[in-house]
Amino acid sequence: MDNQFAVVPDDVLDLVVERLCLPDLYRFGMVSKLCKSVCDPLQFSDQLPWLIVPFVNNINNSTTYLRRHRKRGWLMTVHENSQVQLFNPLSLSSRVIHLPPLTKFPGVLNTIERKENEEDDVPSLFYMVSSTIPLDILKSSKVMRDTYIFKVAMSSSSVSEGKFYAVDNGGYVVVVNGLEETQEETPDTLS
Amino acid sequence: MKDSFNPSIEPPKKTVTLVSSDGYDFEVEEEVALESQVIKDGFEDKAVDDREYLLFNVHSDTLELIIKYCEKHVSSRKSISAAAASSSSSNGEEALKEWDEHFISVDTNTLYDILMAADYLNIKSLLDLAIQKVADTIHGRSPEQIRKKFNIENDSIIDPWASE
Repeated sequence: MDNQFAVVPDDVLDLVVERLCLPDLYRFGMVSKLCKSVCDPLQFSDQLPWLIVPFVNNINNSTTYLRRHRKRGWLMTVHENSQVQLFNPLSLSSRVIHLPPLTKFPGVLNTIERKENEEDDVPSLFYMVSSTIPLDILKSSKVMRDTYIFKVAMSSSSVSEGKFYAVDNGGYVVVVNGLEETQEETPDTLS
Repeated sequence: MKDSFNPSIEPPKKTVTLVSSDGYDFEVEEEVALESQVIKDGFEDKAVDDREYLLFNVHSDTLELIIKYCEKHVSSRKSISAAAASSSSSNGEEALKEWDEHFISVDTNTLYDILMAADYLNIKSLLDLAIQKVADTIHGRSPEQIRKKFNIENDSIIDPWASE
């Protein structure tokens, strides 16, 4: 009676699959080739488009911008308040890894807070960003959130020096420091 | 025909014989057997004295459970509609749901047998129950845990969370 569930007819398996939520479906598709085949049309291609709508829009106005790593389902969230976090929504563990905030990224010379409009209660965050044109540029936190991180790449090798080299979208090599300051915590908003 | 004019006398229950794959006979009431859509289809075409069904895919252990399930559902339906007719309050459906839940709380081998038998006999409510149980069992488990639970071999899919 070994391996029974490996021979469940497709139509029965389809009925099971219909009742799974997306994270369950994703995990179930990893079980075996048969399981993966019935999880059509998802098929877990790396290009699987996956829309996540930000649900946090709190008083800090820290709406989140998501970048999905193409493999393994990792998500990077970039917040308007400069926080950058990494987590895997499909993993059973719900740890969130805090990466250095945008304010510590290379190219950011300084940040200032100022009110965009007279009637604003809370001042907005602005970034002074070094630029190739003679004048440094002042960018709003929204623009930084949406555009500063273009792509996420992940490596399993340990980076003891906490240094990353990356090529930015303008073709310049940038160095990212300070990853040793990253910390993990279990948030209560994720499960 | 006389019986139909005199409802106070119950007609003798018509029965059907179900034969399991390992050769055991189960005599059940007609309405219990008719819970299976497969038996229901073409039931009227069969001669009354030939109402015997060979269930090649259902072992006696499983058939016993299936019959238990069908009997419970037939009798519950009756008492629920009787309660509705007399407009007396009844928690029959709630109780049946609880009974179902208890019924399907079995080991994965038995669950598999019930699932396959319900599919083969086309008993929709039982198939739904068994499928929901499988889905519930999958819920929240990692691929490795699912494999262990259902005894499925990993045939070359790379599991990105295997190290966790």
